[in-house]
Amino acid sequence: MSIDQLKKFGSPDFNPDKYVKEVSQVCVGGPELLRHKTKIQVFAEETSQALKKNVYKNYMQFIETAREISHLEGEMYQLSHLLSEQRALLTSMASVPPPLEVAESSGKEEKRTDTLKTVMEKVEACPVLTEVEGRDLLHEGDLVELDVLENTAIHRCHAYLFTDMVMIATWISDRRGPAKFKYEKTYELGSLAVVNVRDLGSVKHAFKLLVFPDSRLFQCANHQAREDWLMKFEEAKKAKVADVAKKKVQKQISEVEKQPPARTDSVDSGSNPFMWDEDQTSLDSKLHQEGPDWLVESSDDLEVLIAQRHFEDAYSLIQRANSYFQDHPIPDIKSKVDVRTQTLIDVLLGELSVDGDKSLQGGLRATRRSVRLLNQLDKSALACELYLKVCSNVLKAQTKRVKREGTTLAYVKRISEVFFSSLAGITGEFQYRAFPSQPSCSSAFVVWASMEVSHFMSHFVKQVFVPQTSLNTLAESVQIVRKAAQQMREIGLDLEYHLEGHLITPVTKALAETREKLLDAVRLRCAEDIWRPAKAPRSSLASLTPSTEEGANDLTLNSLAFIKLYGALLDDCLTIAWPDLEHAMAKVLYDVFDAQLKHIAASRDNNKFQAQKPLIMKNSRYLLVDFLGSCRNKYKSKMLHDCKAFERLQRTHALLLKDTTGVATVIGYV
Amino acid sequence: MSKKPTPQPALHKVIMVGSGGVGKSALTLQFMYDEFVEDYEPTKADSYRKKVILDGEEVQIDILDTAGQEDYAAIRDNYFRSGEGFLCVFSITEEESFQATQEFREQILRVKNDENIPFLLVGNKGDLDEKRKVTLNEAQGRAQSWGVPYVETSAKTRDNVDKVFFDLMREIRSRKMEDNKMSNGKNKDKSKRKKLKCTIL
Repeated sequence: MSIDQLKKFGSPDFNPDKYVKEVSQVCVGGPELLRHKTKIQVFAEETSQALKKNVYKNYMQFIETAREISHLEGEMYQLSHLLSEQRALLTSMASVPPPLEVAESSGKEEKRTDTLKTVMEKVEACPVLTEVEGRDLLHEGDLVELDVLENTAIHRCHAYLFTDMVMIATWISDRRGPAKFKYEKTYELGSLAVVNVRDLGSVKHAFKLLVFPDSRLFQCANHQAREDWLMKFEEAKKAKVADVAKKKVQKQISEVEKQPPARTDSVDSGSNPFMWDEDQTSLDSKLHQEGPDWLVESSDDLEVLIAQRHFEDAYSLIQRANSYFQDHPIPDIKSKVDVRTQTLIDVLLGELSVDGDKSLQGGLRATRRSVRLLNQLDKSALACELYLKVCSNVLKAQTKRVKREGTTLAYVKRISEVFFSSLAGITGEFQYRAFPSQPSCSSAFVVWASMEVSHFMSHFVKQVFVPQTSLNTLAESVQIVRKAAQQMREIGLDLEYHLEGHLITPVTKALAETREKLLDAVRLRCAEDIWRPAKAPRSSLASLTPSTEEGANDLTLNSLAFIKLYGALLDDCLTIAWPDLEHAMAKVLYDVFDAQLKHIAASRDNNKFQAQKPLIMKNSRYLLVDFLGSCRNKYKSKMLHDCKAFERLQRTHALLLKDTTGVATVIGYV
Repeated sequence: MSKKPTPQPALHKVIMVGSGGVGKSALTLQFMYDEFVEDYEPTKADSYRKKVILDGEEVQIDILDTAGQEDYAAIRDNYFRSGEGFLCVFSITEEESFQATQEFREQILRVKNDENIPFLLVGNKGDLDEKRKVTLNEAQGRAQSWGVPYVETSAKTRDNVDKVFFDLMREIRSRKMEDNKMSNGKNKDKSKRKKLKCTIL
């Protein structure tokens, strides 16, 4: 067909009637018309072929794209999950709960007094260090005191630098008990002049402390030690200056703060009637300062409500207080309420958190209340995290209940059903009850689900893919788990992709094993082949090869056995099959068939079987044309396209058909 | 650390005072090591000691190079208390540093409680005459009113560097001799002087 004509048919204003008229005008007589008709028929066939090809190509592209998309989707979910996790982290960092701070500072305080106490233990006759508030040890170290004039060593000593002073203690040479040093003197940091001794003849690494009337020279062990000391002195002095300045400011502020109450007092006592207005406003401001009674008591009420587990009431009280604070900020009470809110959140989170010994009797339903309240308290991310942990436990508990007994298949079937139906139940609960319309939580859920599936699959693989398991069992197991996973797809969570990801490695390995096994089997049987037609009942053959025709006559036992074996292999392969696996499948299918055909070729050329040659030819023809053809069809109907392996087999072994009569036509098909 | 039983040579304690950046450290380093250090790095408090021959006699000079900026007056007092003589340095190119000398002088007098403490007013950076902000007359006038000598130096060209240190040491030495005589002549006038090294006896 010419492209010219193609264009004609393809043009949008193509009119069949007109075309027919034209043709009938041009064509003279019946034969020419007929010729034209065949031409058009051929053309139609070609077009439909091209169309099929196109559809197939597009279909493959579609599948590829869909898979890419599901890949991407998974990644996006993961990303979104990461982001929401980070956000939760940031918010939790931004709002450090007040009690925590107190605990921290008290911890610091404890540490501080501890260090001071150890210092006091070490130094004999040490003054009480802990009585000055805020004193802390900044630096300490061994020094050698030198004579200021002679530069000769006097004794070893140990110096402690505190936030407000320096303490010098001398070394006790014959020490007994815990004390290592003997207290000598302390110097106030505020008047301590530290001098870096740069050049003092042979004396190195020294510094001087000048406190009138004392002038003391100390030598450090090395340069670094002296630098440290000087730096610490400098820092301590600076900190002290800053501290003093701060205290001054605070004092001023507190003085300023003290004033207003004094004035109200005077107003109260004053009887000036013109002051009434002012009095009123001060009362108002008092109300503002303290809030209504319910608010003042809210903190205590909240505590009681939380203790009595009236969480809903506690929540509504918090809501009420917060809405009040919006108009009348009372930082004092607000901070108290915030602390209680935090307590409530902690208690609710505690409800959700998974304890080993907590029973899961109520299942997920038991968590509904806590989750709902936490959502209202704007802690969805935290709740979601804990909720998913509960889900994990529920899943674990439910799958654990499935005992490993009976055949692998039965076990796999049960456990897959249990796992996926639980997962489906959890999904429903999560999406519609616990966290409806919360995208960040959904992403966390998707990530969680894929993780659970990974766990499950690794368990599955461990159970099913044990060495020496027949491909048949594997295929069925895989089919079971797939079918179970399908119900997840129905509720909008496509997990098949994950399944395949987990299965591909073990399945590929199993296929390779099967290949070795079958190759051995085929070779063994071929070695014993004596080329004699089998007298097997036809019926068994018919069931194996649907397209059994008259060519099936005179098949040898070996061929029959091969057909049986290969048919089973193909069936199993097709049961497992998914696009990513095709390469591995093709290799098995090709190699096993190839081994058989090679045996036939060898037998044909073997003089020993000269007499059986027609039988050999018959067998080879049957295998290569009829059986292989039926395999091809089967494969095509399942995978929707041809198998490369079969095409290659027919091509490589085409020579086997050469001697027979039907060669030309057969090659024609191929 | 000397292990000689012989007494150490006399020790004269000199303190460098003055605003930040006027060249106290530069003068000290030039005197100590004949070096001029161009880079400026604020000093905290450094001490140096050197043996020198003063009028044919071996003595030791202890130089305390103080910080121009010390936050605590109490600490600064302790530095000053340890000194026997002061080099009060300002930069002739900076009016403010000259003004600040007044404060230093007052503080030293207060701490030492002694009008006649060995003291030199030093106008440094004499090599930068073209940038001069403080006239010779002004400085000399102030020195006169205090009853102390005024010397212009240059740490860069080493102009008068040795002179200021040696002049001061001479003053300290003569001052100590005077004190000794006074205390020997059963005069119990205590001017809060620290224990003295008896070099003459």
